[in-house]
Amino acid sequence: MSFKFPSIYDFPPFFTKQVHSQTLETQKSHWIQLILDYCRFNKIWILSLNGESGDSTLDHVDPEDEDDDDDYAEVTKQSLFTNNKIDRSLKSDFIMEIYNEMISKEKAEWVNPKNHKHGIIVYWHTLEEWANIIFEWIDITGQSNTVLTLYELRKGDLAKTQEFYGMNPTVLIKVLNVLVKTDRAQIMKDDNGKIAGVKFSDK
Amino acid sequence: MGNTASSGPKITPQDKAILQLKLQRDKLHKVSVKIQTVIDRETEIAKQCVKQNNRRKALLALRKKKYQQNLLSTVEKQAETLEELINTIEFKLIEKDFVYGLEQGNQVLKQLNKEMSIEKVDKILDDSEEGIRYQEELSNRLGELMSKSLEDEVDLELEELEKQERAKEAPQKDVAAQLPEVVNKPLPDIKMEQPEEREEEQPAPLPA
Repeated sequence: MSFKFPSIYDFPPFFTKQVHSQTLETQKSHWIQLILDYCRFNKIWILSLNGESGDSTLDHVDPEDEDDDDDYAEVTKQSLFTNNKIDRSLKSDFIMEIYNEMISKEKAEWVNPKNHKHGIIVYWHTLEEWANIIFEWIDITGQSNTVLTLYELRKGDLAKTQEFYGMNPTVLIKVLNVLVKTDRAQIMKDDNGKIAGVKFSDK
Repeated sequence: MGNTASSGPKITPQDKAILQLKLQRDKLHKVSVKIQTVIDRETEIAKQCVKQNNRRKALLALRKKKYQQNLLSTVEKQAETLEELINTIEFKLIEKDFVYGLEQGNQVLKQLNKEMSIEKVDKILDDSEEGIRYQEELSNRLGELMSKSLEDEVDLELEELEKQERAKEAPQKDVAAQLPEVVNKPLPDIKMEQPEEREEEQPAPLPA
């Protein structure tokens, strides 16, 4: 199953920055919605500057999961901002403009605020929403007050059917920090001082 | 490790030990994933070599694959052992809580039992009995102290009080008092007599 693009994606002017300010606003909001839907569907946590999944560089692909593999292959081969069918693609400065708008609307964040070339973290859920989703799941699966590794959360058998399965580690740590700030979890570090595990509270 | 700032769940030394074990298990899991990738690749290579009629290379690939498969089963066994250990520890922790709960409950029970010791209950009962006896004794003594006339006066006062009490209830009783008295004796045995009378009458026509 692959992502079903909206009809506007096959409309050539959609790929050209509109001059009329009101039309431009609509165009940008459509693009933002498309990016969010697309990333949510393909589980893209980090989007590169040219609209490819930036996850592969930061997170190795789980070869056991073939479906995942296919998704990655498809995603990395083709950019969201290039539509071969109508032979159109977005200009990079317009992509930057859309990214900046997403960031101002808290739908995204630079991976590295000082170096934009690593792309953006896409938030189809806000960090707070993710925190609630994970905490809720921990609660209903009776895993409160037990120690979990980050790997277990991201790739564990129990989490396989969850939306946060396969979450990018950088994003996961941000989510866990939200939980720590609201006293719902405690982060545990390994011997090297790296965040390795988490213990959720049961309140 | 800077864990003191927030007031989330407490991290115990056991938690740290479990985390270490789990990290090891994750590592093993990652290794097994990697080995599986190698196995798949070698299988693919072997297939291609067979296609190209390169038996020696195919054999080599299969041998490598076999080796990796052995490795994989070892790794998986180790991971299983670790997982078991983790489960045992986590369960033991629960058991510890359970025993602690039992102990607490037992202590409370003991304390309650101590507070309600038989001697204490007996003593309380004795005490109250003594109190009652004392009370009786006291009224007896008071009775002795008073002269006959005073005693009569007290009786009179009591009667007066009782009368007043009755007067308060009287208005309700008045209505009942005005009504005729309920006949309380058995009804006259008319029925019994009547049949007898008839019996007497009936034989009369016969002789006529």
